[in-house]
Amino acid sequence: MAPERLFTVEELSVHYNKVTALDRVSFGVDRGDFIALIGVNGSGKTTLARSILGLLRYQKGRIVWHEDVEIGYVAQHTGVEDRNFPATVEEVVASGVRKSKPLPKWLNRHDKTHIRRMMEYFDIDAIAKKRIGALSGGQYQRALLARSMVMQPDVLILDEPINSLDQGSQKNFLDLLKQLNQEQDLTILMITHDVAGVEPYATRILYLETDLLFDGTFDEFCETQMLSPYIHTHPRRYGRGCS
Amino acid sequence: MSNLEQLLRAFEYGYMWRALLVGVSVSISSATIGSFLVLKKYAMIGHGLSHVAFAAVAIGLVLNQAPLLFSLPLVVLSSIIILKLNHTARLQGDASIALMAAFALALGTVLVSTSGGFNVDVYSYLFGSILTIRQTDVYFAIGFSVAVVAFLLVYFTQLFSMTFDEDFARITDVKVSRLNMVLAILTGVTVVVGIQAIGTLLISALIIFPIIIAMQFNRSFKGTVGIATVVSIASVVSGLLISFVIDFPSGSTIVLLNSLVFFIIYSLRTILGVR
Repeated sequence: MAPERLFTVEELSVHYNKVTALDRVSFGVDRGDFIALIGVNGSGKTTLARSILGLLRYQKGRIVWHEDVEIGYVAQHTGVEDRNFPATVEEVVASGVRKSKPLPKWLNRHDKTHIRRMMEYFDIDAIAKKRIGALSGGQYQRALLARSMVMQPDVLILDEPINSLDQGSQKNFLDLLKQLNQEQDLTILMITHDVAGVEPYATRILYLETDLLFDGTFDEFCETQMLSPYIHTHPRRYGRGCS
Repeated sequence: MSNLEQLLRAFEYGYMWRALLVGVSVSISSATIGSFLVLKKYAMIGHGLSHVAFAAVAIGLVLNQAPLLFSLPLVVLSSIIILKLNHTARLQGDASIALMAAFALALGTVLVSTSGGFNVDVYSYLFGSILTIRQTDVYFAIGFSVAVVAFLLVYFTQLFSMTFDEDFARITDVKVSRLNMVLAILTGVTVVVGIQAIGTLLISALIIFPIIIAMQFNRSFKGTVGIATVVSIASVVSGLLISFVIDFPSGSTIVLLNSLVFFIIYSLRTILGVR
C-alpha cells in the first residue's frame, strides 16, 4: 500500500532582506515518517520548520496540505527559559487541549481526564502541580511534548529538542518519540545536530544547506560521496555511525 | 483626634468614596493586565505610557481644557504605536518604550514651562490627587474594570498560552497580534483611569508591583494573578486611607506601600531560603 502523503513542500524559498535562508526546497512527508532534519547553523533548518508551522511568511513556493493535518511543536530547550514563570506543569500541558474548543475554552471533565492521562503517559503526573521553571531539562521537554500531544497531532515538529539534555535524558526522550511514532503513527520532523544519535530512530534524513542536498535513509546518507568528506571532517557532529 | 478617628472620618467624605471606588477599579485592571505585561517582558509599557499621559495632561492645561479629554486618545494611540514600533521598526525590546517616554516627557515639560511652570494642578496630576475625582470618573472606572474582567474571563486561557509561549499559541490558532493590541489598548486606558488616584508618574508601579509580589508565592498562573489582584486592591485601599490620615500624596503612599510589601516578602524568602 502506498504511504499516505500528509504534505508536500514545493520549491520553497525564504529570504531575509538580501540573504537567502532557503532556496527552492522540495520534499514530501508521509504519515509515519520519522525525519531528522540536519545541517550546519544557518542552513535554514529552523526557517523551514517555522514555514511549515505557519510562523513565517515565505516568498516563493508553496506547502500543499493533502488533508486536514494537526501539527504539534516542541521548541528548543535552551536551559535559560524564564525559571520564575508562575505556571504549573498541568497548566502548560492543558494549554494544548484548547485549540478546537470554542471561547472561553474552559476545561470540562472530559478535557481534564484527557490531560491527566497524557501526563501519566509522559510520566509527569507526579509533578503536575510543580512550577514549570523548576523542572529538569528532561522533565521540561516531556511537559512540552505532552502539551503538543494533547492536541492529538498528526505531525510533530521539534526544533533541537535534546540539545541541552544529558545523554540519559536524550535517549529517554528519543525512545519516547519512537514509541509515539510506532504506536500512534505520529509523523515526526526533528531538527538535530546529532545524526549518529538519531540513527536508530529516524527513517529519513533531510540534509539542508540553504537548498536541500540530501533526502534519504541514514545508510544512503553515509554512502553519499558528496557528503562524506563533510561528515568525516565533522565526526562529532555528523555521525560516528558513518565510519 | 486619634489616627483611628481620623481614619473613620475618611468615610464621611464623598470624595474619599469616589477615590476608593476608582482606586479599587484601577487596582483590578492594572493588576490583571499587568500580570500579562510583566510576564511578556512588557513591564515598562506602563512606564512609557505614563509619560505620554503627562504630555497629554500638559496639552490639556495649556489649552485650558480637561486634561483627561486629551489623555485617553493620546495614550491609547501611543500604546498602539509602541506595539507597532516593537514589531516593525527594528527596535529591540523596550527601546520603543524608552523612545516614546523620553519624547513625551520632553514635550510635556516644554508645554508645562510655557504655561507657568509646575504649579499645584500639574503636581496633582503627576502624583495623584483624589480631590479631583468626579462622579463620572467613578462610573467610567467601574465600567472599565468590569470590561477588563469580562475580557479576561473569556480570553484568559489564550492570554496564558501566548504569554508562556507565543509561537505555540500561534500554531494553536490564538490570534496573538490581535490580543496584543487589545492588551496595549487596555493598558493605555488603565493608565488614564489611574491618573487622578495614583498620578501619571506612579501609575506604572501599580502595573508592575502586584504581579512581582504575587510571583514570590510560587503559585499557579491563575493563583498568581489572583494574589496580584488582592495585593493591588489592598495596597490601593490602605494607601488611600493612610494618605488621608497623614496628608501624603495618594499615589506616592500606594507605591511606597507596595515597595515595602515586596521588600518584606522578598527578604523573608531569601532568609528562609525559599526557591
